[in-house]
Amino acid sequence: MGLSGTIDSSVYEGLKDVLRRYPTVTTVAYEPDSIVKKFLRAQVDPNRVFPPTGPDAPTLDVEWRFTTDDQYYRIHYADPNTGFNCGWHRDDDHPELGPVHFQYENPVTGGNKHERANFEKELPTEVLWTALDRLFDERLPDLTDS
Amino acid sequence: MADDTERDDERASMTRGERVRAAARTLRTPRTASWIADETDVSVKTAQKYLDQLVADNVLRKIEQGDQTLYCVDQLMATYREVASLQREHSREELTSALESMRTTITDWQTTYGVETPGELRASIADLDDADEIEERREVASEWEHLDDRIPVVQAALTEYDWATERDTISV
Repeated sequence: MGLSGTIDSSVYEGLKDVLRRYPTVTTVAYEPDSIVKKFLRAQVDPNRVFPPTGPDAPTLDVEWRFTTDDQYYRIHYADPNTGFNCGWHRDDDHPELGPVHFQYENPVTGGNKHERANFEKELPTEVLWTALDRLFDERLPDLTDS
Repeated sequence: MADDTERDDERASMTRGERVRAAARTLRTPRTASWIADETDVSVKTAQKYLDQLVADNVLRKIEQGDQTLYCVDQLMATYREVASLQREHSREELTSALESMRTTITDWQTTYGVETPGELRASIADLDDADEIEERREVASEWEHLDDRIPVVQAALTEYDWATERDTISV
């Protein structure tokens, strides 16, 4: 769903920096293009994730928005090879789960779930680092290794 | 939580300075050096050093509030840099056609939903029951607000395009 708030493209420069430095990420670009700059899309090397996937590169979308008092975001991973997708969303979709939730969908196992999530840090770059660590070190191995 | 060591290693690939610099670009709310130090796991002295460099580089602004010193993104300078990168990375034609396309998209929404602004579109949601329709209107309103933000920046890049291109030449 659409996130509340407005985008601040200067924030994307910092987030792009974090994505570029992440070992599993190969390229990072603006979507739909570098003029409209709605969100960032990183391409992930299918051979560098565990368990390995392929041949197509999974994508990682990062969108951040701000209101006067709060931030809303979507950090979402999608594997075109298996249809597996998951991510952390800070939006108004699941108020019963608190401000941030993690959701995943695995068409291979039929599994899907929305659960409560929390980030200790507030700065977008620090939230993104933590999310990337959780994604590649814990979530992907746990949820897609069959 | 497993792999704490590995996690630290990955973040360590970014030096302390790089980590503070990347984080600083996201400081929309003015914050103290000690808050930033805590968020980025560096000492207050280290944070302070990089934050002051960023102030000197016109990336951040320093605000004195009572006995506190706060840092936040220098929005005016960030916008100028944004305008300059649009001018450097895109041709006049690309910017013109992107601008036209954004304006056409907005005109289409105005016609489709019979409203003039994204605020009016959001207000129209109150009268609806259909969940899909509500979802669609919220999505469009949010995209519309974003385009409303981007149009003046792209317009600014076009207005001084020739002048900027002239300044951007390197004489060899």
